[in-house]
Amino acid sequence: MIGRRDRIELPDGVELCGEEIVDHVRGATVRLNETATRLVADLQARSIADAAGAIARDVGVSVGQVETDATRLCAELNNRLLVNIRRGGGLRFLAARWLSLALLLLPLSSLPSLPYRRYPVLRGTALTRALSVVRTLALRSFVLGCVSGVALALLLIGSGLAVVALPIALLATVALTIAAPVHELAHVLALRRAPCFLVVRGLRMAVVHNAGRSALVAVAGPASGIALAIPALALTPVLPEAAFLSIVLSGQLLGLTVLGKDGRNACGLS
Amino acid sequence: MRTFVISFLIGTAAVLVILVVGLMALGFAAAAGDWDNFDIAIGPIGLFAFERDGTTTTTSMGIGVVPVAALAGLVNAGAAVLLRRRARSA
Repeated sequence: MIGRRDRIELPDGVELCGEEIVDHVRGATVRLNETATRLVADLQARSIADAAGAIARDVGVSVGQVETDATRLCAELNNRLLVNIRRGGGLRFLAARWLSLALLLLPLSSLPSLPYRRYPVLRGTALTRALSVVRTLALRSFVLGCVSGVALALLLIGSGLAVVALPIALLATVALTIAAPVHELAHVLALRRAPCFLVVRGLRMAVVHNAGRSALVAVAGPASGIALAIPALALTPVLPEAAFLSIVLSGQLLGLTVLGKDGRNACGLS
Repeated sequence: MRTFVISFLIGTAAVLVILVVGLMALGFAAAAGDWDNFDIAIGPIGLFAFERDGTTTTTSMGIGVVPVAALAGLVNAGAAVLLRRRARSA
């Protein structure tokens, strides 16, 4: 979902060196041709429409063709987590674009995919790394918690369990708001000082790294649920609904099975 | 074989912990919520029992959680082997 008014930016740890994009965190390099190199350089300062216009004049091809190629290049580099997309409009513009695309794609049983966004994990002490993860993911986790809480409340009300809907939905909101950043934080802390970064796409979050210890790192995230479930369990005598909270939190361990990406990593399947 | 063993151990451990935490939570909730006596079993294999006797409550976890977790581990290991075979043949 990249538009004409969007630009790109190179995230921390990624650099344009001559005709190559170098990802210092993963130690990966992507070679570009001359036009793509110019586009990557131009698109950091100008929108796709403006950059395409300039290139089309110089090369003598149609603006529409260059715009299409530039959009494809941005999408490809974004899929490889090498560039972030800077929106040309605000949140309202983005929502309107998403809705219009969703209506178009609905007959195909598909929805527009949001671009990836890469955030750095600051190097330094464990506290510095932890703070950078929490700061990046806090708002997103809260939204995730609220969305899940509302969905759960509606489900419970629809099932005739309106009495318990509010406390359980609130607890689910709290659980997910806390559990999501703690899950990613556990991955980051298990990596110790190895370089890594956070990737978010919509409400999905992940830690990307190129370090060893992949089984340990994979296990750390889902296992963090237990560290949160135990205090929740201790709350149960005072607040019986907290039983549900502890079950949700410990349920993260299901991510260690082949159902989850962490589980497939831990089992050596990827 | 390595994939099978690792997936079996991880799947068993994960489901065992979820069951233990879930049943403990159930016990706490039952004690706090004035629930009556009940037990959970699969045939003759007991998973959980809650008893109330006046003001005291007793919760006990049955040995059944171990075979249930092992069964889940086995399913996980089977799925892991299938995924590995599919990835190799692709």
